[in-house]
Amino acid sequence: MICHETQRLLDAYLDNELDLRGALELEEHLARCPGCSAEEKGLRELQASARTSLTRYPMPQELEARLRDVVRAVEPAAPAPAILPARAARPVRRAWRWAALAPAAAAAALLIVAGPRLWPQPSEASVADAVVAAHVRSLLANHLTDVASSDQHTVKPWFQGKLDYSVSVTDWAPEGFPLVGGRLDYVENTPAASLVYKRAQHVVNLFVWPSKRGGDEPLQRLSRRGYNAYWWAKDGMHYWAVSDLNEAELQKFVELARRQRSLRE
Amino acid sequence: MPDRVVSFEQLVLPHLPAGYNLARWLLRNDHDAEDVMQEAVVRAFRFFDGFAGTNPRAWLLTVVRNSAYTFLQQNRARELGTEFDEELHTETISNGRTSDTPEVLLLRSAQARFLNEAVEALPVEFREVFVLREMEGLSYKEIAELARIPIGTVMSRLSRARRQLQAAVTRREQAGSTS
Repeated sequence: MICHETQRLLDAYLDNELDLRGALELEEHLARCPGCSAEEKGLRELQASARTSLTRYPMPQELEARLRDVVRAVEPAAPAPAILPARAARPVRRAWRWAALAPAAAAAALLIVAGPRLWPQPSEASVADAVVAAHVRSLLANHLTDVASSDQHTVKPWFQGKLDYSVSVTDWAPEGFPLVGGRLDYVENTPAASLVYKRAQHVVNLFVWPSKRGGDEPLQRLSRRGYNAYWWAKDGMHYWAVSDLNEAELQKFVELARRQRSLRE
Repeated sequence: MPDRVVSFEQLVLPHLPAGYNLARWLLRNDHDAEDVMQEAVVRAFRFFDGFAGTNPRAWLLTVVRNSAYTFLQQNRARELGTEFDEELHTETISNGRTSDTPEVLLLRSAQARFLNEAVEALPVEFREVFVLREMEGLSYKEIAELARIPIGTVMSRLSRARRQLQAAVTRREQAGSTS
């Protein structure tokens, strides 16, 4: 075996990828050739060094939690009625559902006339599931914002014409929660405005939609599948702030949101 | 919880850390690695029914790798298809090493520090092969299947990556000793 040939096969030898005969021939050459032998030593040092000193990047814990949620959020057969289909699939689904329900329309109309109290109120738990699912969906690639802008004067008008209520939008960049945009979402079959904020790598979704019940509700907190959520109702609107931020930081955000809204009155 | 979710969670999710490490090395920053992992997990889950192999780790790494390349094509295409500067590459390193004097040991610890930077500086096609071999311990055949390249190409890329790394580490050592 000559040097040129040895050089060509040295890596494969080092990685135990040579057959026995090839390896023996190569070793025979190494024993006789100081140049090739030094080369081999250098490569082995590099390999040892790579194996001990290359950084093994640890996966951020909140990413792992998010990835687990992604699996459950995309599973179409998941027995979670509160999880809505992806927005892209909605029009078809809806049309189908309306068609199927047509015979029941008269009865439904009667029920509505008879009084909203007969209509089952969604439980807070199912709203929480729906809001957290909407949050997880928004984290899937390219679904975070429909209108990407840090300018509140761009985001607010974008919602007008898409919603039959007005949403106040404030950029809290100076307080560490920059606005990144807005998105139209659905919670409990109601179109909801979602204002999207960031805190470092974390996303905060602030969902806003009109309350069917009306009236104010005090601030409450819950956590679901590793996400924290705060919610309250004020002047007939529901507010849900959802994020993988820790409780204390999300609370800061919530204080901003609540303070701003009471100042406006 | 449906069976499909359960078996995906049991077979594939334990390998997320290996997937993340690969994504992080291919993309070289946390933020993009996180985005790519998200995309990869969605893809992996969608195509999970097509997975009939015996090595879920290599399978997940393949999906992560493909997602990372898609991301690079869309966002940082200039990083793909780059070749070595042959002049740098042909620089020879075989400078007869002697015994383990304190000086040599010091050099080695410097090597370790610079090595990470040098690997980051490799073109992505070479970095990938090197990381899969040295960090994940994959065989040439596994790397060839994962990256869809011939085994001969795995071997030559690995070989060139190593020569390049040796050259880079040596250059840093020399620069360090003269300054």
